[in-house]
Amino acid sequence: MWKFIILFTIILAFILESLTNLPLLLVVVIALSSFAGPKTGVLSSFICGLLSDLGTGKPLGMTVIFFLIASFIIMLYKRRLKQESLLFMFVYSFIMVNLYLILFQRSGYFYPIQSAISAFIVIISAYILYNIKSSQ
Amino acid sequence: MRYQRRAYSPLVIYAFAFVICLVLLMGDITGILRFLRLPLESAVFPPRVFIYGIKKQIDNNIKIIFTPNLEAKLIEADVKERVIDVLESKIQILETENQNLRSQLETPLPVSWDYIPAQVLGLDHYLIVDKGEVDKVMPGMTVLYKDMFVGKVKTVNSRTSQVEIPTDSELKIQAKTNKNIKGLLTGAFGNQILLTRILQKESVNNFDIVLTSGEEGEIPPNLIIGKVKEVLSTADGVYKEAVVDPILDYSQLRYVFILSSF
Repeated sequence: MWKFIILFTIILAFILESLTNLPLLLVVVIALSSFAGPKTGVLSSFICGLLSDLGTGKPLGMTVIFFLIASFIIMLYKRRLKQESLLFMFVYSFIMVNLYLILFQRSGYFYPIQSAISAFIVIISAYILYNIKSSQ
Repeated sequence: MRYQRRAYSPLVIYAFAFVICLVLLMGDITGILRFLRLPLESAVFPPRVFIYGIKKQIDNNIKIIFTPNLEAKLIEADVKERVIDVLESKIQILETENQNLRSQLETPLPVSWDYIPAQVLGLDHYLIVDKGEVDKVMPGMTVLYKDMFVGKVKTVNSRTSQVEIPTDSELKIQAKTNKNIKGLLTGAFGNQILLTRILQKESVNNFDIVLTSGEEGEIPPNLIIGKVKEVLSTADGVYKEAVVDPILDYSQLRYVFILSSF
C-alpha cells in the first residue's frame, strides 16, 4: 500500500513539476525522508533525481546527488524530529529548495516565493504523513 | 531454515547510494553509460511532450482570464486556438518536408541553410528541445525561430538537447545594431540581455534593433535578437551598455529550428 502511495506521489510530482516552476520532486524527497526509513529515502531520491535529470537533460546522477544529500541531512536529524518540528522542516525545506534553484537554474538570485510555497507543501505533506502513520 | 534480513545503518545505505550515483554520473559524462540514456529518455519523453502542451494551454487560458475585455478576448482566443491548430498541423507537415520550410515561414533566410525542426520540452535555465544525438544535433549549433535568434546548443543527449538562450549569463556572442554598432551580447540575472562593450562615441538609441554579427563564424549574421530598451552609460567609462528587450518570449516557444548547416 505504502509503496503504491509513494510511487503515485512521485509520478504526480513529476507531472506537476513540469506544469509549475516548483521543484516538487525535491519536496517529495524531503517529505518522504522525514517520516520513512533510509531505504525509502534513498530510493525516492534515486527515482526523483533520475526523473529530474532525464526530464531536463542534465547528466544522469547530478540531481540524484543533491537529493541524496537533502535526504541524508533529514535522516541525521530524524531522531530528534517530531510532529512539532514543523518549523525546522519549513526552514530546512526553504533553504534546500532555494539552494536547489540557485544551483540548477543558476540565475544568481534567490527564489523566496517558490521556496516558501515548496516549504509549505513539505510541512503539509509531512503533517499528513505523520498523522497517517500514527493512526496505523 | 529462516533467513534474517540484515539491518544496515543509514550511513552505510547512503554511502552505498552515493557511490552508485557517482559511478552513474561519471559513466554518463564520459559516455560509457550513454546506451542507458536512450531507453530511459524514450520512457520519459512522450509524457513530457504531452505535459508541456497542457502547460502552454493553461498559460494561455490564465493570460486570457487576467486580461480586460474578457468576452472579446475569449472570442479572440477561440480564433487564435483554431489558427494555432492549423499552424501546428502545418508544422508537422513541414517537419517531413524540410525543403519547403523557408518559403512556408516566409523568412528571408538563405535557401542553402539546413534545419532540424525541434519541439520545445521546457525551459529550465536552458531551453530543452526534443532533438539530440540521434538527430545529428551537435553542440554549438545555432537555434532559431523564423529569422530570430533563439540560442546556441550547449549540451546534446541521445534524444534531447539543452539550448543556451540570450538571457543566460554564460552565453556571450558578438552582436550589432541595425546601425552596425558592434558589441558583446550577454545575459544578466537570468532574465535580462545586455549589449556590452559599446564604445562611448557610438550612438545607440532606444528601439535600435540588435542582430547577430556572425563574427564568431558559428552563428550566422543578421538574426534578430531584440531591440534596445535602455542605454546605460557612465561619463568616465570606456564602454557603455544597453539593455536589450528580447524579441521572443522564450517561455512561450513551442517549436524552434536547429541550424545544421549554413
